[in-house]
Amino acid sequence: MDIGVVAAFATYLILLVIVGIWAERRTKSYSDYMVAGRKLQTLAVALSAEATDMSAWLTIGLPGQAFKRGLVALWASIGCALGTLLNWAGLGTRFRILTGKFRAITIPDYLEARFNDRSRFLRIFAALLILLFMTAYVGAVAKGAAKGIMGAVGVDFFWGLVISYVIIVAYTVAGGFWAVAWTDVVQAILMVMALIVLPIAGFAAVGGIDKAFSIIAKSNPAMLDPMGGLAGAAAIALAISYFSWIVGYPGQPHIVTRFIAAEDPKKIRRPGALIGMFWVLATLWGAVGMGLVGYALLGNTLADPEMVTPTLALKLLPSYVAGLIIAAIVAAAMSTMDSQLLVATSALIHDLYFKLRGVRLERRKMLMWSRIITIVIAAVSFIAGISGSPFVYWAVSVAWGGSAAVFAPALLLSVWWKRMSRAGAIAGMVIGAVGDLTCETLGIYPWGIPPYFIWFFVNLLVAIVVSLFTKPPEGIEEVFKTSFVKQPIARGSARAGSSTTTVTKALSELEVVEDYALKLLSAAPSATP
Amino acid sequence: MDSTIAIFVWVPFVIIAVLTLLYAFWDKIEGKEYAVTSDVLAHESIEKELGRE
Repeated sequence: MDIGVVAAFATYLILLVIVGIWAERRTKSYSDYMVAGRKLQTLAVALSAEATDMSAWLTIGLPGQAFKRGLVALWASIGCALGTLLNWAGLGTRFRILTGKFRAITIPDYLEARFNDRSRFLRIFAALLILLFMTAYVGAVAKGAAKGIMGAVGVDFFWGLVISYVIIVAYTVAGGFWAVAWTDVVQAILMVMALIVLPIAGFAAVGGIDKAFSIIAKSNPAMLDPMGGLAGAAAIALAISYFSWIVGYPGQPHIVTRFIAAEDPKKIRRPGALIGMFWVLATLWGAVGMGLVGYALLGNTLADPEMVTPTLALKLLPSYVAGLIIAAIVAAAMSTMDSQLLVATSALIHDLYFKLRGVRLERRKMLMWSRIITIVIAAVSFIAGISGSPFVYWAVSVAWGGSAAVFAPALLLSVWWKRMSRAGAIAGMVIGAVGDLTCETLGIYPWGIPPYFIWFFVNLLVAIVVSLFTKPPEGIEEVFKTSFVKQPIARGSARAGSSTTTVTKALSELEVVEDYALKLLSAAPSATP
Repeated sequence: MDSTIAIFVWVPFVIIAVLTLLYAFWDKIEGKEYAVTSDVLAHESIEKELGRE
């Protein structure tokens, strides 16, 4: 156990504790706990969405793929980056506007309101899938965090798992969405630092980018082929299988909840998307660079390609910095796990209990029950994770793709196309779920392409065709008309108040100060003779 | 770095970065933005809709 690594890891944990304590003080109500009272600052929206999305796949999995298969892994980076952009541009602002209008704080809430679904089918169907997928997913992601903790402090796997759960449950239960989002910000900063600093250190150690590529070319030229040494249909299928990530993003409940929580819909576009996208580009390209430079430096000496990140960190950097890199690996897993835990909590307590049964409680009791349910779901996912049950393994393997095939088309279409009907949404989602889960379960991967990529488009097509033959929800035209009004951008100090319509801006603390100062300034001349 | 590799590595990066900038500044290009009302912001307490104060 290296004291520098332990000290760095301890620093990371202390940061989480500080954020947790701060968030606990801010969490006064159920709405704070579930969606930060719909007042989450844009920086946190952006970085939390991306850190939540990426998990340890970014810090361990993708560098491992690049180490093993070379440049072909960059297709995954391209697919993920475009998928992230699709999420911001396709859902982002419009999803926040509609969820605010409908007072929805979860995806099932939104679907029920958007499609005026009095049968409650959409709520129950969506909530059950989210609960299953997210609970299983938490257990799987926790294993990544446990492995990181094993490497950092030298405990065995079981205790690594226990430590990761204790930390995450502690800050999530204490501070709810505020804690989850702002610890994600800390974790996102660590991750981007790791994925920029370490590849640069690696390329410097090997003697530059050209030198690294010439070493790889001599050792294994196929690694520098964007098609992985394949040609024709096989090459295209390989590229699509990596690239297929693109369609998954708008369907991930733990990611799109960030848009629901955003303080100001307008800031989702700028600076939200700018911060999120440039974080994503830096980390995804950095991760592939890490795998390639790792291969140039370590060659075939590394038994497990996914160990390339910690191995390079310990080899190239001072122990304290290497400890921060290892903390970034744990952070990547934790940032996903905490968000999934909270989304699973909301599916159970909000969608399937409070809303479905029409339960009305006092504010304090609602918060208390939400916290209890978070602990229960964490315990279930912990037990499920260590049980080794085939059902849990199945649920984990279908969670990402299932969410993509079921929710992504429905969410995207519903915010852009007012004609989309309840029948269209149900038909598309059910077909997406049945088709994807059947293919995943039976291992049917046509031409090696992940089933969710195919079922996403089937869902989309079915939803469009059925909607064209059925009636849209009553009143949706009016909702679109009043919610998506565009106005000329006001300039300077006139921006907040000159519009003929009453336009209210969400004011961050800084803007409140600015606004107050402007009012004082405009009042000053009238006070002087 | 071979030019084919450089193209594969950097062209998608630049295209995605440009698309991001286009999206982020589209309201400025168009000269219009969504009029966000307090009804859409929905900052009032969710407990008001769900529970007893």
